[in-house]
Amino acid sequence: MNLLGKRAGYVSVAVDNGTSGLELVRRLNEEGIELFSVVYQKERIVFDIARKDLLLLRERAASLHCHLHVLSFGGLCFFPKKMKRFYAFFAFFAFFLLMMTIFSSFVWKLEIVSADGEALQEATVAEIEAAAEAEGLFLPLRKSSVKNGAYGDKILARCPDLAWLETECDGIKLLLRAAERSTAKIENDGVADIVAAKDGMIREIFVLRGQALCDVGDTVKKGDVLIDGHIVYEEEGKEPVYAETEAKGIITASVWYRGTAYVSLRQITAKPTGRVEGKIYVEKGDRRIVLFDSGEKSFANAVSEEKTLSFRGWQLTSLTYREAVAGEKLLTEKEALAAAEKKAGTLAQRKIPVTAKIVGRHRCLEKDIEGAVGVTVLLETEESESFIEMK
Amino acid sequence: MQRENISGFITSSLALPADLSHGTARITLLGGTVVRIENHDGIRGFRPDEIRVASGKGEIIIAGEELSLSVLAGEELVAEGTIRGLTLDFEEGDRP
Repeated sequence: MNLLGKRAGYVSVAVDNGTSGLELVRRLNEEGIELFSVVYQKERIVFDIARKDLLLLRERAASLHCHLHVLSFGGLCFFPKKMKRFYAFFAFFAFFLLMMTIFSSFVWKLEIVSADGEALQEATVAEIEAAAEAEGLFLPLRKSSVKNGAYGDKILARCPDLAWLETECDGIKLLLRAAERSTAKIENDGVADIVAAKDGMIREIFVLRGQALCDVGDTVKKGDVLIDGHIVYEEEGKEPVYAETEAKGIITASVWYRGTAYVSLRQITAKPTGRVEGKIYVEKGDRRIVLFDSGEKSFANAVSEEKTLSFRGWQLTSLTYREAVAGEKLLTEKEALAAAEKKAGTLAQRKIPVTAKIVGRHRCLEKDIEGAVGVTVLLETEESESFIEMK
Repeated sequence: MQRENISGFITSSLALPADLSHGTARITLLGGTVVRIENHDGIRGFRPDEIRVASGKGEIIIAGEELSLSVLAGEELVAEGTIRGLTLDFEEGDRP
């Protein structure tokens, strides 16, 4: 079986399926002519025959008075013929490829970027652009003329503020990566000292700008200058040089916070009797609507409790009176001291800033008052930012 | 002795494969969709539901649906479609 014969080129033919049609197929078969895809279709026999056997088929069909209908053709030899209808498409595709090749061999946009990620100064960018123009770098520019790096060196030679410059083609963009010469710049935003915002003891001091006026272990008071913005450079045999700057540094200090509380040994207690009175009302401005009222307050001693709830300007209030009988409870000294210490600790803690870290706690007893005990709690904190202020 | 009988005698005497003897059709059925017939003697009838193939003194009848001949080349043919039956229609004593 020669399947290559069909691939080289074949014709799809239909013949009437009368006696002559079948006879034609039979005769072709007897003569050893290969037929492919022989199907019975609408009273016709359709088959594919190799292109080289087409003339023979015509002769045999004529001798048998068969009507041949060529339906289609395929295979390699007919490929160019079939492709004719796509010539416009191929031409456009080829043109598109050609244009893409031409356009992509040029750079169309210039971008000046910093090599270290930081923004370049406007003056530097303008300087590079001017240098690029002076060196004949006009867009569009062939990529091949950029790739050897000659432009980079020439532009760098024209820009004294640049330490380094590199050219790189990124698609249709020409990137000029530049690094500015780093010059030691003295920041001088004004004169300022760092002073203590509260009393404390210096634990650490690290001066970034200015002159330190205190040392580790020094006790300072609120308002004391810690780092001075006025600097004096003194050298033997020379006149002192004065300079001013905005003081900068990191200072950590210990700060103590005090809280004192007294607690009486005799505590008054309220013992509820179980009787309750009260009222519920809503009000808005001057208008009040009473929802429930148990009448005038009749208890001699009572513990009152008020709850409110607001909604769109209206306020719902619930007022409850619980009758109570006053009682007395005697605390031991130990219990009273514990209560006083707790109260003093809370008072001291309220003064501590959020950023401060508590590193120590000290307690000392106060001079007794008759019938009461007093405790002072000292909380030691470590503070940095909250300890200093600029002045 | 006729020529076919002589070739048959030689084939059986030498214990040769039967398909080597002249005029013996070789039928290969692949599943229910493809029939390959070698050493046939031509097409006698062709319809979508039946293909009649001459072989020796009889016929090989392929019955089915949507039958087609994917290859018809000399002594070889390949029929494709839904094959329902394969009948060997020979006179007594003959073989396909």
